Amino acid sequence: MSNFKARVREWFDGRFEIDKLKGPLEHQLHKPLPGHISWFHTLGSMSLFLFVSQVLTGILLLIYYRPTVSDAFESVHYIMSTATMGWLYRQVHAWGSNLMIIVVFLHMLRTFVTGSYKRPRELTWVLGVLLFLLTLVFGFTGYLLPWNQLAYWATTVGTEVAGAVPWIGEFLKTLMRGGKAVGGETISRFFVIHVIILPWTVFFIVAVHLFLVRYQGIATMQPATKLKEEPPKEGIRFFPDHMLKEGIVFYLLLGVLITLAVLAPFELGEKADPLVTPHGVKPEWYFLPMYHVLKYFPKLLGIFVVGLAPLLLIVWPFLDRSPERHPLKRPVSIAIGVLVVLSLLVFGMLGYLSESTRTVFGRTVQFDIYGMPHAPR
Amino acid sequence: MNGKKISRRDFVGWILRGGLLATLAGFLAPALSYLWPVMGRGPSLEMKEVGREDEIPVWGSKKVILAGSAILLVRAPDGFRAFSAICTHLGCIVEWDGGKHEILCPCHAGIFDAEGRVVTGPPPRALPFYKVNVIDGRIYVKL
Amino acid sequence: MALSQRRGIIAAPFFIFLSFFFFQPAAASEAPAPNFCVDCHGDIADEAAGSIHTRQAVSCSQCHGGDPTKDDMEAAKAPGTGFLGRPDKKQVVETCGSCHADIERMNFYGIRTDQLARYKTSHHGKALLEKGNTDVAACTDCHGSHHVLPVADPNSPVYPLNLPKTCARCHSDQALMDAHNLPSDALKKYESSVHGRALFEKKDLSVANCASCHGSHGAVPPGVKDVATTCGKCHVNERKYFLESPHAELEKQGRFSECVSCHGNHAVEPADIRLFQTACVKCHAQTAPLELGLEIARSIGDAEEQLAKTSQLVKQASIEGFFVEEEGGLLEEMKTGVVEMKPLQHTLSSAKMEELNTRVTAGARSVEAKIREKRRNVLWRKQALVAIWIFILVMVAALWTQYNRVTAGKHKR
Repeated sequence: MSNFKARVREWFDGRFEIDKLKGPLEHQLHKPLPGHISWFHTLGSMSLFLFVSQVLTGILLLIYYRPTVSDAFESVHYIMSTATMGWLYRQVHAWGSNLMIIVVFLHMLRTFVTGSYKRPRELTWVLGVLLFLLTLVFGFTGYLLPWNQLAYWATTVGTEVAGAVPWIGEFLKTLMRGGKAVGGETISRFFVIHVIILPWTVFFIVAVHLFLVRYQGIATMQPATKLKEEPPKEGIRFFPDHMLKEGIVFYLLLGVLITLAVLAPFELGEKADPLVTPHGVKPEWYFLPMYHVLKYFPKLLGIFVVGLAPLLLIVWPFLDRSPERHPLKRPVSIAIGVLVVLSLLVFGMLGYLSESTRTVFGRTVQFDIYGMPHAPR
Repeated sequence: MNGKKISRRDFVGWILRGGLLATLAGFLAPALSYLWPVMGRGPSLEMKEVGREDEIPVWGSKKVILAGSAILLVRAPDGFRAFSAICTHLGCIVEWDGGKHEILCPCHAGIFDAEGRVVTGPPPRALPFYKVNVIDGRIYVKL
Repeated sequence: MALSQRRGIIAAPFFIFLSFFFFQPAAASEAPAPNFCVDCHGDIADEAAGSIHTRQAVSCSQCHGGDPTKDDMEAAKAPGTGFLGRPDKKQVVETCGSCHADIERMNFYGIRTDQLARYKTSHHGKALLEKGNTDVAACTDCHGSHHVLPVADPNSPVYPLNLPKTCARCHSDQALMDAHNLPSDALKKYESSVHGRALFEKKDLSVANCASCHGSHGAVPPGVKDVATTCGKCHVNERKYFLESPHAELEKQGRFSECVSCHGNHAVEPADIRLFQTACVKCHAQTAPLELGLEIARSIGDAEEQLAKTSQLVKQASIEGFFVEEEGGLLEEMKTGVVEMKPLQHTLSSAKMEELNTRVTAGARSVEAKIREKRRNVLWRKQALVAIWIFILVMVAALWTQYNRVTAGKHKR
């Protein structure tokens, strides 16, 4: 075996200057990582793992999925009931999309807390925020594809919100829907975006993002200065040390994914019926905070407020001038971060409860459009 | 056996290597079984196979269940017809009368002709029908 | 030729041509004959405006006699005009019949011409024409007089939805019915019956109304022997199976009023399985027939219970998240079996009922087996999950051990 390996190496060595690569490669693998490296620093690789999982399960689903109004629902039904292990891939893909949004968000949160977005890594952060937004677009476009009632009406609501943007709203809405209403044209467009445009876009941005991370190294806790950063002199290596940690988280995440697929499978529900609107149609959970916030403002102001959030996120490294990275030394930033996360949770919860009737501690409570509880009439 | 004990270090190494291999195999095997087509279905997802051409004589019939609903298959000289077997009056399952070439409802004597149109009796509408294709001696109904 | 002369030569034929349009007689149809009756009887004319007779240009004189072309009242009603005034019942029948029984006259309208002939055979007709009894219904009592509408018009008093109330005008009048020794509760009974509820509540026009069983123009109460044929017009299978039963012979002898004995006539209720306990004893004292009845009742009850249980099972499986189209289809077949049992029981043959029951049971077993299989698959998945987690925990332990070994002594968190 080792003889064979030696011969392969010789073959490549004679044609490509492998030695030139050996040095930088070993440096990348073995250079010391900053001392504060923790379990939270595995979130980035987990995002990558989930993306790869989505691509692979997505390719498998593509074998049997048909992107037309007459066939989409039936093809997903076929995958879930007839294709061998089809149910597993559909559930892993569906749960994977939800987990990916959570994990990418947590990775973003970790980067925020450790101040890693500051100089010289502003670009890495910008690309990262773009990746997060593209993940949300992945979710939005993929959600329509099973063509069930949930998909159809959530997409109708979602594109209506897009239509509320001033001046270009109607144009945007028609462009997204491929017509006046959600239909076969919408499936085609969303399918193309979800299956070709987004995967390659994300792939390239991830490649650049990873290159930058590797090239600049992981940020330390030292304050960001105009001078060149001092890399850590000692610490654990990326390979195999940190990767072993990532391996542990990978297996646990895989376990969670499969457990969710088996114990909490997503239903297929009923085929989309443009004539029957189910009661209380809402977008998927990751859009609920935005959806709910829009209710408090008149149309134009609401769009402005909600549109501000991703913009602020992108330019944050340029707004936050403090050189400090350690969270305890940046009370304002951390406070803002906590506020944002809390408001996401609160508005998300309100959005979830709104327009529904639930039993709380034995009493029936009706929640109005703002999520405020009332005694039933 | 030469009696050498495997050191703890090697043991963990073996678990890791074996585990990784097992994980890869665990990914690959179901994927391959998923890719192998499930046979015995119609040429497209819309058409369901309901029988063979030679099991129904001319002016004969067959009742099948498709997507939870009863379908009546009738063979006329010019081809196959597939009707919903649910009477449009009060929902009883209809039957084919090969002698009279009519479809009868046993509940209130509703009668439909071989095209599904109401001849007499209480049914208010004709029987809904479905497209039938015969390919290679097999009968397929499009729902 | 001068210019003015040329103009004149061209213009003249043009004007002659135009003149044809000014002197055309008015519209293609003939002018209607004058009808001076409406000058005094305007309100009746309004009433008759939408009627089928007015639409077909049947004039007042065709029913009332008289001369509508005379605008003088005396002249219009002069003796020679055949003026009838308000016709009495017998005259009504003769007057209506003079057109509606005339085949050549009615030919182009495409409606039947046997109403008069049938009426003469009916109880109404016989009472009126043979005994001179004017208490009965004649043409105008049911169809109206001036505002006659086609039967298919929802406003017609003889439209299926309105017919029972029209008959009830007399047949629910207790004083009138008592005078003729007839029951006056038919409408009330009918309203509470299966047919009445289907007609009035569900607006099912195909259901039996008064005329369906009694006939319309030839109205008679169906005699004992005729009930079966009457009910059997729609309930074909029930009648067919009844003829195979031991009661059929009795019916021929007129000793058993087939349907009515168990189901009633006006107050027809949906047949209840308890009838086997209450109805048979009316004639049978021996145990054997009673036992047979209970056996049949048991078959039906059994099949219905199986259907209910299996429906519940399928519903539960669908809630658990399984796809149950195939099972739903098998349920349909079971339902058909149960529905078929209802007419079949009229054969009073326990063997035949058991055959159907077996079919229903087979369906139930099939559904149960399929759902059991699906539940077993899910159980297998959960067991595999446990195995997978054991593997994962082993891997995590191994990785953690290796991590600690590799980072021993290094500066780490």
